[in-house]
Amino acid sequence: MIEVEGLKKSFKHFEALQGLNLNVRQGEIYGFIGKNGAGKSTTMNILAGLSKPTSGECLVGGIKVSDIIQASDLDLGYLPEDPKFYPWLSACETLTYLGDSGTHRIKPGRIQEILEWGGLDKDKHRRVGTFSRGMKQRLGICSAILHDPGLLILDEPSSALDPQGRNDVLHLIKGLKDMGKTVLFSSHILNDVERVCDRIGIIASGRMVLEKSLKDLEHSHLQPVYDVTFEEKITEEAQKCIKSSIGVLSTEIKEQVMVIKMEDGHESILTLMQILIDNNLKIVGVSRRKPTLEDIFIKEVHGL
Amino acid sequence: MNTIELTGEMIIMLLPLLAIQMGLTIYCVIKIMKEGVENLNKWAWLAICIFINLIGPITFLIVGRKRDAS
Amino acid sequence: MKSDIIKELRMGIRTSRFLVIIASFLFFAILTPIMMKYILPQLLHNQFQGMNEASISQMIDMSQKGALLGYMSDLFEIGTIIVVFALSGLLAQEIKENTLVLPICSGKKLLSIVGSKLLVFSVFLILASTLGMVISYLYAGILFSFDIGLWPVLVIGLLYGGYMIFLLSLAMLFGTFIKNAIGTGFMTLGFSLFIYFIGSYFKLHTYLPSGLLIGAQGILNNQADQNLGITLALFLIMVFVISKITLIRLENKEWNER
Repeated sequence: MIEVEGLKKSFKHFEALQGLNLNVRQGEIYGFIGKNGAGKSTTMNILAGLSKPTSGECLVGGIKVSDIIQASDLDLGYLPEDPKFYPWLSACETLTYLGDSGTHRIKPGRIQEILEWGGLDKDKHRRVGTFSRGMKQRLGICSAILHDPGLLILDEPSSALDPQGRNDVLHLIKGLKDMGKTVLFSSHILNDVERVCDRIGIIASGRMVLEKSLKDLEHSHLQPVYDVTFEEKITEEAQKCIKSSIGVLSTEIKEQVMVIKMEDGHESILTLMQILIDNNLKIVGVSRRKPTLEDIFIKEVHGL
Repeated sequence: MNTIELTGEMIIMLLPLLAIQMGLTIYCVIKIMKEGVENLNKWAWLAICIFINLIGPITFLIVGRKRDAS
Repeated sequence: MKSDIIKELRMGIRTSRFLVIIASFLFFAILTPIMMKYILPQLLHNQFQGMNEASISQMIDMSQKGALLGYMSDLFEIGTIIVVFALSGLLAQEIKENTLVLPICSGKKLLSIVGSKLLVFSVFLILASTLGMVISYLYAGILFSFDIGLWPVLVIGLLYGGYMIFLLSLAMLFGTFIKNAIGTGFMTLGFSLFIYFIGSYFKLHTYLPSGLLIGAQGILNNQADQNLGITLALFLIMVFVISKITLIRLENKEWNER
C-alpha cells in the first residue's frame, strides 16, 4: 500500500527526514512510533500529498506522490494531528461540505451512516466550535473515511485525548480494520499502539530504526528474565544457591516471587529448571517476562 | 445657543439610525453574554459596545467574538 | 462549487461579517444626510455667531447631491476600513488556522474555494454598496428635495461596490503572505491608499481602481471627463490577475506545517 524509500525532507534550519524507508502492507494497521520531533508528522504530511519531499521515492497505492497535482488525487483519507474545522458549521454541515467535491461525490445516506458510525449522531446539528477535543477527533476520522478510501493516514489520533476519548478512537480504528482498510497511524503513547497495531515502525531522528510485526517483535525481544513463584518463603540459603549457579546473572526477591535474570540464550528456561530441581525447590509457577513496547522502544532508540 | 436643537422632525428622522445602533448593541450584548469574548475582558467589550457608537459593536464583531462558540 | 458557495454564505452570516458591513453602510447612509440638514448648519452657527443662513449654505452644499457626495466620502474614509477589516481574515485566518487542510484532502479545488469566496463577497459588496447608496439617496431626497435621477445613483453604487471588490481581492492576496488577519487588513489599507495617492499625484486615476471612485463623483457632478470604460476594464483585469496570483500562491503552498 505504501512504499517509501530514502525519503528526505529538509526545512530551512534542519533535516527532518534523513532517508526514511517505510513499508505498509495492504489491510494492516501500522503503528508509527517516535519521539516528538522525530519526523512522524512530516512523513505523514508528505504521504498525504500536502507537502513535497526534498528527495526520495514515495508510492501510495501504486501512485507516485511526486506525480500528483493535488492532494486528493491519492486514494487516502488523512487526519491531521490537530484537525481544524470551521467552528460555525455543524457536524452534519461540515461533512456535507467536505463530501461534495466534484470528482468524488458521496451517496445521499453516507453522511448519516458515517455520523452514526462515529457516534456523533446525537450532536450532528451542534456547531463544531462547541465540540470537545474527543468529538472533534472523531469527526476528523469521520471526514477521513467519508470518501471511502482504501488507506487511512491518522496523525496522532489518540494522543491529546482523555482515557474515554482515547478508547473511543481506538475502537474506531479497530473498526476500520474490519472494514478491510489499511491504516497508518502515529502515536507516542505506546500502550495505544500495542492495543491495535499489527506492525510497527520506530522512527528516530528522521530514520526508520526498526520495522517489524508486533508478534515478531515480542518474540525477538524476549528477555531471559523469569518470575519464579515459590510455595514457601524463600530462604537466603536457597537464594545463594541459585545465584551461584552457572547461567544466572542476578536474582531479586519480592515476597514469594524471585526474579531471576539469566544469561542470554534459547535454552535459558531449561537451565533454570535444572537449577530449581538440583536445589530441590518447590515452586508454584514460572513465567517469562513479556517485554513491553516501551522497553523495546527505549532499547532501540537509545541503542543508536 | 451652544446646544444643538432637537426638533420633532429631526427625532423622527433619527429613529432609523437609533434602531440600527440599538439593534447592533443589543445583538452584541447577547453575543457577549452567551458566547464569551476574545482578546479583551468581557466587561471591557460590554462597555465598548454600549458606549461607542457603531464602531464599538463593529470592532467587537470583527475582533472580539469568540471564534470557537460562534 | 455549490457547496463552497453555501459554506461562504454561512460563514458570512454566522460570523456576522455580512451584518457588520450592511449595518455600517446603512448607518452612514442615514447619518450623512441628517448631519448635512440639521447638525452641520447648527454647528457652524454656533462657531461663527454672525453668520446668516445664506453664507452657511454657500459653505456646505445643502442638497441631495451634497448629501450623497458626503456619504461617498464617508464610505471611502470609514466604509473601506470596515470592509477591509471585516474581510481581511477571509484567507489569512484559514491559512493560519489550517482549516483548509481537510477540504483540500477531501478533494476541494483551490480554484473553487477562492472563486466562491470572491463570488459570494463580490455579489454581497455590490448589493450592500448599491443598497446604501439608494437609502442615502432616498433619505437625502426626503430631507432636501429629489433633484437627481435614481439611475446615476445605482451606477455609483455599482462603482463603489467595484472598488470594494478590488479591496477584497487585495485582502485575499495579502492573506497568503501574512498569516495575521489584522496585519493583512493594514497592508491592504496601506496599499489601497498608496494607489489612491499615486492616482492623485500623477493624475493616473483613469488607469487605477481608485478611478472608480473619482468616476462616481464625476457622474454626480455631471463631469464626464473620464473614460470609465478603460477604468472598468483595467479594474476587472486587475482583480483577475490578483486572484490568479492568489491561486498560484496557494497551489505552491505546503500545507499543515507547524
